[in-house]
Parts: sequence; structure tokens; C-alpha cells
Amino acid sequence: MTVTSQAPRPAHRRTAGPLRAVLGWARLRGGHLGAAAFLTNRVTGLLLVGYLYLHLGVLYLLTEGPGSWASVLRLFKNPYVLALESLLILFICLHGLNGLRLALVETGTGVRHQKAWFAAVLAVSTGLYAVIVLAMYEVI
Amino acid sequence: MTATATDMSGQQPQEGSRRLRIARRRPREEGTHLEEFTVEVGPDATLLEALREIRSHHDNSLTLRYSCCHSSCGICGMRMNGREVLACITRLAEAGPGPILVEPLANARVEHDLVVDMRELYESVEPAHRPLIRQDDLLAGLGVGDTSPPFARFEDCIECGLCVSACPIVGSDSRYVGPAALTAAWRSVAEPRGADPADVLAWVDDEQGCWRCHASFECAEACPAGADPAGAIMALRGELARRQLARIVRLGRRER
Repeated sequence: MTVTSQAPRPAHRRTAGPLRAVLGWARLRGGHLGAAAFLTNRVTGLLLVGYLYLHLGVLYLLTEGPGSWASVLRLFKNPYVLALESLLILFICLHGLNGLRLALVETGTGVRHQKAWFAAVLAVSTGLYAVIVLAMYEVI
Repeated sequence: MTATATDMSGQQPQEGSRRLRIARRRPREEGTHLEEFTVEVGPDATLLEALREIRSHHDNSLTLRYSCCHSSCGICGMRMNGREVLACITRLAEAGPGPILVEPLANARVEHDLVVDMRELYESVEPAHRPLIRQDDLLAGLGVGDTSPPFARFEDCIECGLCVSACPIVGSDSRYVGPAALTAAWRSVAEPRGADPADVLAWVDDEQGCWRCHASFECAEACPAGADPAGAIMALRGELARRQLARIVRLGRRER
């Protein structure tokens, strides 16, 4: 039997178009914790990329002079904007800690406990988020 | 059991009856439509029993595939309310109340109604060199294992294709070899039987091989045989990472 070093493409499988490519991974079939972790990582990853561009846009305002920068700072002190920004902390915690989980699981470490790993990720992220939000609003 | 066809607006079924909305597709026709049937069932009726009832007493054109009726052959895979199941061992009660949506497996070409083309699954498993049967350890220990043909039992994987249907990455990228093939590859690596698994590892060490998996674990959830495809993929990654690390260490020593 001949084995090639390249992964062969099954002969009868349909070619994935752009729509199928997106809908394929967005299909929530089971709602298991593993699938929830998969979706969480993708959604938080996309949000963090979006935030990165927003962040770069805000930094660009530095070139527009002190007046422009001061108005941005006023906006960021708005409690509603602050609440949105606090979500960024949650996304970073979820994405980062789940990344550690994946780094372990994907090299064969604790694969059978992957759900417990993710439950721990959720617990630690929520705890960190709560502490940071309380600190942001100067409750603690 | 008796079966009656109803229109999709459907009257309320009587107690003990279930409504099945079945995806129908004729060969060489584009598009799928749903047809609804009401079947009188007992509390422990399986999905396969209900489908056979429909086929026997109402619509003998309903096409499905089954054989062993006890989850060994793996050919009655389909989706019940969006989840991959073997129809022969899945009770209708597991679907909860309300109409039950029955569809063919995803990520495969539909041949007719609930029957999909399984060739690509079998072809994808082929390069793993995976023996479909193996010698029975128990009988080998009794000294009767060297007879020909050997006493054998089936591997855990029954090649039903549920994992491929459930995988969101196969659903988004047709080039990915898929969890069934990678599980077979891991069997060959974990149990090489004297053969060098290097070529199998080289095959899966590819961006469309084991590295394409995004660890949603849907394959492991769907697997009716406990073959744990996700665990196999992660084990392949671990093995490849260890071998690469060992190679780097050897190169480092040689440099000294």
C-alpha cells in the first residue's frame, strides 16, 4: 500500500464554499462543554481582533492633538463604556485560559478531563472578571 | 405500531404516537423536503423501529440502511433532532416531546433519503493501514490464536461516520481528512504490530491532518462505540510533538 506524506482529500467530498466554511463551524449541534469551549474561543478571538483594530484607531487619535485625546478619555470614563470595556477583561481571561487548556489537551495531556478543564476556565475567568470589575468601579 | 402520513400543519397525535419529520431526497434530484409521519409506538421504541414501521405500512419508498440492529455494523447512522445517532439503539423518547426531525448524516453526499455515500469515509480510513479486525487477545492467550483465519474481533471503531458528520471542521473545510481517518491512524501508531508507523505519522502530520482539528470534541460526543476520536487526534499530536522534540534534542547533541 502506498502512503503519501500529504493528507489526501477524499474523492467524493464537496468543496466548501465561503458560506459553508462559516456555517460549518458555527453549527451548534450538541451544546456540550467541549463545543461551548470551541465556540467561546472563536467568538472571543474575533472580538479581541476587533478590539485590536479599535484600539489602534483610538491610538491614532493621539496624532489629532490634545483636544481629541481628551474627548476620547471622557468617553472612556462613561460608566456604560467602562462596562463594555470590562467585558474585554472577561474575553481576555476566557480566551487566554482556554488557550492554556488547549495547549495541554492538544498534546494529549488530560484529554479525558477536557470538560473539567473548561469548567475551571469558566470559574477562574468569572472570578477574575468579578474582582477586576469591582476594582474598576472602586468597590474594593 | 401503525403509521399514518399527515400534512405538515399536523393534527395533535394521540397518546403513544410520535410525529417524525423525515428529510426526503430522491436520487439525482436537487433539494430536500420534509415529510411528516405519525407512528404508534411503545415507550421503548427505537428510531429504527419507527422508520421500519413507516416503510412497512405507509411509504415503502422511504430509503434507509440498517443491518445488525445492535450497533455493531454502524450503517444506520443518521441525525435525530440535529444530533448524530445510530437509529438502532436510539429510543424515540431521547428526542423529548414534540415532532422529531430525522435527517441523513451531514458532511456526506446524500444518495437517497436517509442514505449517504460512505465511500469517502472508507477511502479516508484506508491510508492508515488500519487492520479492520485484530487477533483476540483472550483467545490468543489460550493458545488457539495461531489458527487460520485468526480469531478476531472488531475494533472499537465501527466506521459509522457519526464523528465525521458531527465535526464542525469537516463541515467547514472539505480538505480535512476527518476524525475517523485520524482515529484509524492512531490505532496504527499505538498498535503498530511490528510495522514502522513513521509513514502514517507523516501522513497525519499535515495542516489538513491532525493539526486541522480545533478541539470541539463533538466527534467524541457523537461516537456510539466509545472510540474517542478526539482523544486519538490529541494523542497523535502529542506523539508528533514528542518525536519532534526528540529530534531537536538529538540534533543539539550532535552539534556539541
